[in-house]
Amino acid sequence: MARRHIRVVNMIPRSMSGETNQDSEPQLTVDPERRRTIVGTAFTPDPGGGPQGPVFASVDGGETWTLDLVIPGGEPNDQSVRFGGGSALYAGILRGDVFLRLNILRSAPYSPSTVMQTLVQRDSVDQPYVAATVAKGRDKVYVGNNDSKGGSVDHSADARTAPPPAGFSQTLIDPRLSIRDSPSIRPAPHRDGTVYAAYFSWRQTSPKVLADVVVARDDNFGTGANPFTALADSGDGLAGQRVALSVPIPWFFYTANERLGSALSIAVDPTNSRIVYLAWGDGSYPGSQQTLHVRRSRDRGQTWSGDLVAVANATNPALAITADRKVGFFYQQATGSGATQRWETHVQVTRNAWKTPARDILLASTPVDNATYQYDPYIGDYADLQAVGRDFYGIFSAHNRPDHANFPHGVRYQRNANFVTKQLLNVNGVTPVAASIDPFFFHIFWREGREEEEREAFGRERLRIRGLEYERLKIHELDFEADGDSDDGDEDDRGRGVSRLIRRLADRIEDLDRREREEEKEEKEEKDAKEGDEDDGDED
Amino acid sequence: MALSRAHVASVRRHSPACRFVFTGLVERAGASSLSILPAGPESAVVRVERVHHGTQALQDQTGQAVTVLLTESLDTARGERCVFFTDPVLFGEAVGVRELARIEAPEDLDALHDLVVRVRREARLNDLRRHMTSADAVIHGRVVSVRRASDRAEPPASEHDPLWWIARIRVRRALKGRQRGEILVRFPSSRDIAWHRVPKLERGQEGIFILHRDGAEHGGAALAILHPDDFQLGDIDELREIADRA
Repeated sequence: MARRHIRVVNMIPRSMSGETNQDSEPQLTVDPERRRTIVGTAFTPDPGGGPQGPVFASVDGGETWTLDLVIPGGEPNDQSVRFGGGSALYAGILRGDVFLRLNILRSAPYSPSTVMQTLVQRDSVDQPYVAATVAKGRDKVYVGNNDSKGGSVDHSADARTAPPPAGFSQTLIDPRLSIRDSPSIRPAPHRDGTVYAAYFSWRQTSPKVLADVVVARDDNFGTGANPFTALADSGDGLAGQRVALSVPIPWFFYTANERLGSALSIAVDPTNSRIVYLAWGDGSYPGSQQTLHVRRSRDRGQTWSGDLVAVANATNPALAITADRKVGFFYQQATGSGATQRWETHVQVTRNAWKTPARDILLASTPVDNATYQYDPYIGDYADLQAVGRDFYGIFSAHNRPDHANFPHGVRYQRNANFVTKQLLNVNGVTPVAASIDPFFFHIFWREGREEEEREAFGRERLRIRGLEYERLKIHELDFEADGDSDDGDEDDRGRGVSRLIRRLADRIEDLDRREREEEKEEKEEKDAKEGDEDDGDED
Repeated sequence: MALSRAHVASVRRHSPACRFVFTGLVERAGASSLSILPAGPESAVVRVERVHHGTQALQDQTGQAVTVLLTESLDTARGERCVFFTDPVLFGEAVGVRELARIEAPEDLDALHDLVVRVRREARLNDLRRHMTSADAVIHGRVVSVRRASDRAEPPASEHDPLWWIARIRVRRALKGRQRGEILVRFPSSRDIAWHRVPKLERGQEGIFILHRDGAEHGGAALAILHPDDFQLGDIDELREIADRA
């Protein structure tokens, strides 16, 4: 039987242990061809004060993170990233140096320290949001954005190698536009050519904001004459099915320091493009500033279920569907009040569309601390959940107090932190550092228990040896420790983990010994060769 | 103890352009302290002994080992003490920096440090001068009052809306332009990520205001502060002098 495992990692690197920035609004993408390469973003400035903005990069599956300065224009405002094929990385950003200037960027393949190339530039744009899929070796890339002319999708059917604009063109997708659309324009492509795009279309601004929740669709990667018009509304016949009419939007409302108002996510079943899930937030429930609703369509967006699940006082919905059809629903929920107020970060996982209660995974429960509030958004206008194969990968922002009680499934910190005193520490490991908001990576996966998979499942154990020198190695005490949580783990598992750790230690010692002997041999050969040359010289 | 001419020339030439200047001891050539950066002949691990210029995050690296991507090979594998002029490129387990230049560390590090600080200050003032040059007006003034730009109840169009407020400023002296008496200046009251670093003016504040026309006018104010540097406190006489030369 497959066992579930959960990893949570604070993404702030050790060299930035002194940072106190409010690193909110995170996003994440996993290279589908090299899952150990993962890139994340947040509102994080260049710690060195330079002209580029950073991404967070990992090359070991999310265990270790590095800030990589590759985004042009300084610390971006909104930003979004996705991998295509061939390890090509795409980003949609609002540049930090020019207000509301969109850049669509590419790095193909992604390479650390290489500034991304600009493919598209346009002004007066809000909240670019990237989605990508690969079909027949070509990268199909979609960047939802709220243009001054209305909600739109910039799209390319072959974005990987062509020079700028790499096939990108813009399509305005709201035929009912009369006031404006909300910032969130969310595309969701499928390998078979189906592309969904969800958005809020405003109907009224006063006395309160009301909007329709709309899903548009294209059936051929957006390449036709009239992209995103394949789905006609069953009521007015215009492009885009209105899933919910005139819902109240809590635009610029606040809960627990977090600004609300454009919570939206859509995900298509990778095994069947007829099935699509939608989540949005509105103020329709009394007593709740914003309630999240999840609904499903099984006929390509034409008709929709009622609420499969609803969560009050929540935001940042993110949906993802795995290759084995598990549906993941991520959200962050405000609980308590006053001094006891907290942000809870959840992922619900269901295999039957909530016919029975979903497994609710609480990744973090962190305090709402006014001292950590620097700007809006406090934790983000969005977070992220991605499905890669049978796994879920994601990212969220939360208060970074090093307290195991805040992380029910465990957490790993790279930045210096004392979990006993619950105190962050600077690079020197001594100077206290004030709490703030950090991005956290998480990985939820299931494994059957083969040796290789166990190694991945227990990848949280670490063995790092630098410069081991010994004449005789004596181990007086060996302690096995692994971060995170292994669901339903038992003594046999831990025993196998210890055996594996000892094997790795032995392998490492043997490797160091072998290299030492090789170096000695090389030195001897060089010395012999030198003496031989000198002998030749003497003969001369 | 004076610095050599070569040291002075190197500091003056390289300090303005780079963001991290430090004296360090080479620990390992052909090595890397970052898992994302493979070791190679152009990389070296250097222990930072003293930071001469850098942000707070870089000042924190004193005593830490950084990885330097070299412009040219080191003379020795280890033990070489140099002043490195660099730009940071990676922040991971350690900091990775790209070397722009390197000089042998002088005996009088204090003198070198003082010179770097002076050169960087000059660079900072030059940046401010350029910023003033690009502005439409620069005044020395005092905020008399502040109010919303509009009383209308329309919701913001975007989460990045600046949410303009208007400051009435009494002009003490126009340093660029011809403003006199009291003028109206827009500033963004928004706490959004796009605007949070731009100063929020308050009644009674006095200093140098660097003002811009952005093509818009709200509440009667065509001039606005738009950048984090657009309100300067400090030595008014020095700021006036900078403005005069802008």
